[in-house]
Amino acid sequence: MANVNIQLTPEGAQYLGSAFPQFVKTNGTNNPVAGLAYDASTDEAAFWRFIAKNYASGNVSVEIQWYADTASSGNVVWEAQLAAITPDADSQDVETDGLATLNYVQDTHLGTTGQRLHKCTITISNLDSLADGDNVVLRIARDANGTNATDDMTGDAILVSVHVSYLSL
Amino acid sequence: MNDTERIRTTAQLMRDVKEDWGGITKTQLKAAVEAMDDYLIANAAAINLVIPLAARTALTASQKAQIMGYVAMRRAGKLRAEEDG
Repeated sequence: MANVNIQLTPEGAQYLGSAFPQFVKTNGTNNPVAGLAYDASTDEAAFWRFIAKNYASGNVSVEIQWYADTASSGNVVWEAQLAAITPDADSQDVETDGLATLNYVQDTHLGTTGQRLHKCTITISNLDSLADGDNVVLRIARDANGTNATDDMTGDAILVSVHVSYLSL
Repeated sequence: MNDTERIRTTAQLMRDVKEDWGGITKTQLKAAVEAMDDYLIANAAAINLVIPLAARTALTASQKAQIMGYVAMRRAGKLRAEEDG
């Protein structure tokens, strides 16, 4: 069976009223780089909404690509969690829906070049009873205060893309 | 500064100074902030004595701290004066 692949961009993110990453766009030497700058000291979160078309079963994979704003070493901890609603079936109020327990990954800056691109994958196993066609909210946060694992990288971690994938029907 | 103030100083330092921190961790950066603050505490009397008498007796502790801060900011290239254009 194939996978369903969904690309999410910094431009498509939504935020709560506080503790959210700043949208940044750097005019690079040859091309612009857009991203979400997650603070090094305060936990910040961004949200994306997508439809889980053809979701079959199993965990959801979330690949995060990021780079360091000012650091050239250290660890970053990324968190991801879902909330899923089945339209016409769930009576859940969409504005008060809760998120499932988060999953996380600790990624290490590979050095050599400070602003090199890194990728890491979070396997979301807390699926909030995800089903084909569900309306899904994905929350991605930086665990800057190291609740789940050590996040000791100085400066912002800039998220540039998110790739969601799961097993297709 | 108490530990919360030192944590917040470290946090804001990382937000404001967009430079490569030389591969140190957040913990190591905070340790540098702590060491600097400890040094200021330990040497407060000596620092006070380097201020010329007239200013030393006339200025408040806050004003002296601000002078030190402005000098340090200027030396770090972070203080721009109107005269700089």
